[in-house]
Amino acid sequence: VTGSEARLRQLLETAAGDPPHSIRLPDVHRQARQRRMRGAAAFSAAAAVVVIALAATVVPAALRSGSGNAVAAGAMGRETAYVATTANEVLVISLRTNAVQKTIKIRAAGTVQDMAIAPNGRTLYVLTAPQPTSAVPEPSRAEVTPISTATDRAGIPIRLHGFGQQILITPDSQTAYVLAEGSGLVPIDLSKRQPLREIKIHDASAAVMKPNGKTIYVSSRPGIVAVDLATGGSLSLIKPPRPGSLAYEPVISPDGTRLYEPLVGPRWALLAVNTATNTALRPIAAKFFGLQLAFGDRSRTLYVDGIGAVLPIDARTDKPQRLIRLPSSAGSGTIASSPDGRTVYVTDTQPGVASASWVVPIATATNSAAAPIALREPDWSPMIMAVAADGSVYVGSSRQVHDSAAQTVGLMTVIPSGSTTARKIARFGGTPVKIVFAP
Amino acid sequence: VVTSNSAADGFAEFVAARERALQRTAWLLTGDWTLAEDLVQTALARCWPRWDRIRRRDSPEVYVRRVLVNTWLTWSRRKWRGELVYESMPDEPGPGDHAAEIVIRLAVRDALSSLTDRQRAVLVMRVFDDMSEADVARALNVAAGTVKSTAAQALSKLRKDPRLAELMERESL
Repeated sequence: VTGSEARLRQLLETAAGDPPHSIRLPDVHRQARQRRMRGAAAFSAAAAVVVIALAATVVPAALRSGSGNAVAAGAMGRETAYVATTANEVLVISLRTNAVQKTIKIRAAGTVQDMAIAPNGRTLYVLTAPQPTSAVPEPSRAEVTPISTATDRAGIPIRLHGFGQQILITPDSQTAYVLAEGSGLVPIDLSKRQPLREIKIHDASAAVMKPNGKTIYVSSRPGIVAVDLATGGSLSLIKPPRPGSLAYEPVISPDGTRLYEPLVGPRWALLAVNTATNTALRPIAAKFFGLQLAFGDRSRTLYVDGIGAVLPIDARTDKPQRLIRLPSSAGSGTIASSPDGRTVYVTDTQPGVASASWVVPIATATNSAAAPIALREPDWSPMIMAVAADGSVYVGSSRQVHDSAAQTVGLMTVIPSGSTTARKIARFGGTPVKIVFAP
Repeated sequence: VVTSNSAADGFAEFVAARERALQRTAWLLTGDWTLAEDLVQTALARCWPRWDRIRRRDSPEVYVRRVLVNTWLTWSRRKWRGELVYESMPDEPGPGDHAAEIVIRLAVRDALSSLTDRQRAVLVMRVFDDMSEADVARALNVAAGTVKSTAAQALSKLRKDPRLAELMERESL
């Protein structure tokens, strides 16, 4: 190295300075460490996520689910949207005026991780758990706060053991199951507001319930565990037929016949499970990498959101179809389906000095992308999305506060049904975690 | 195959240990922190599915840097890089900077932007990352001689930049 090169190097060192933020690991990584990329769930990018405990801000598990939000939400009514945030608040948004009517403060330990509404629409349940720290990487407690949708008031939290990351409610609204990451499922008798004995599942990382409410499928390191709720929790293990990590949350087709989950190994594939026999089918392989899934066109097509493209898969033949390209190829976003299944929406972000974001509608009849709809606010990253019964698309975005890597602010935007422009609803503290709709 | 926790842990350790260095390299390539973060994120996301194989290499970092630089070269060829349109400016200021650092930062950024993409990549990897010519050649999939000549061209071009030349002439930096 010559003297001038050494001086140049010093200049480059000074110029490069210190990065303002830490990098979030890809979401897939967080998943693989027990599906604690966060424990960590990457690449929150998205997986992403990037998704992903080394991150400056630990993203709650619910952010991993794209389709889950939308499908569950789409089935609900059309009057009110509830948005849970990491600031432990729930925004109550009128779907008629798209204005925030009330902000409900959650007075529970930890940070919001997930939220679900009872199918009877009477109660909203908000799951909170402490964020992992280097001293306590696997917190072992969580709380579930009930909120009456009649009064929009929070009740006394239900305390339970386990690092709660996800909450599922049976169709009869009688029982909730909290996924305790790494340890299993904690049932809660909602009429008595009392946690029951935990169903132990080693390395449990994500869960999904069959639409009939009789089975919960739990992703774990060795495979997917089917928990038969009708027989009091008998278990069966569905091992993937090829090596790989089950990298994200599983989804179940609306007709309940198939379960899919990305299987990340040397080559990306999608694990398919016949839920009638609880057996693994031949994995669907493609030269592709995607983590978030959503069904469109009823149960006929599965859409996988990947880096710069969406992969449609014919769910009747399990054959990948032609890729649908997105405007940017920077990374995957979130994906959600309209309740009628005719349109699948994908968020996409273009990196830049001030990044730009869009929502791209995809017609499921033709698998073609319509013109992207700009979210109009530079520098915000879409985190969650859900489609209301009338077809309006609600997007929750966040960004870091410039002078603090650990602080985030959130933004809710709506694309009204039939419109091609986005409208800002509200800014708030924290990151939006989940959207649900109530009658 | 990314099946074991050790692979995931190894990846986490790698990212924890090297992400700042990777970001700094990415800044020198892009001249922008936001884009640098996106670039590092994208490179890591692309490496993760193959991490079990990458970590068995002699130098996983060279591979990651190769992905980083090649991703940036791909981005830089896109038309959207030519123009950035905002509806409104970001409404919050960035972290505080000292005046002298800003002068250096702007001078370096401007000088680097006068280089071709390949010259910039070679210079950053060779001079800033202190990678050997062989490693840079492997990363960019070119001959070692090409690295040498490209680095020489890049240095020669930078020396002609009056602001940078002045900074390089100063006794104390």
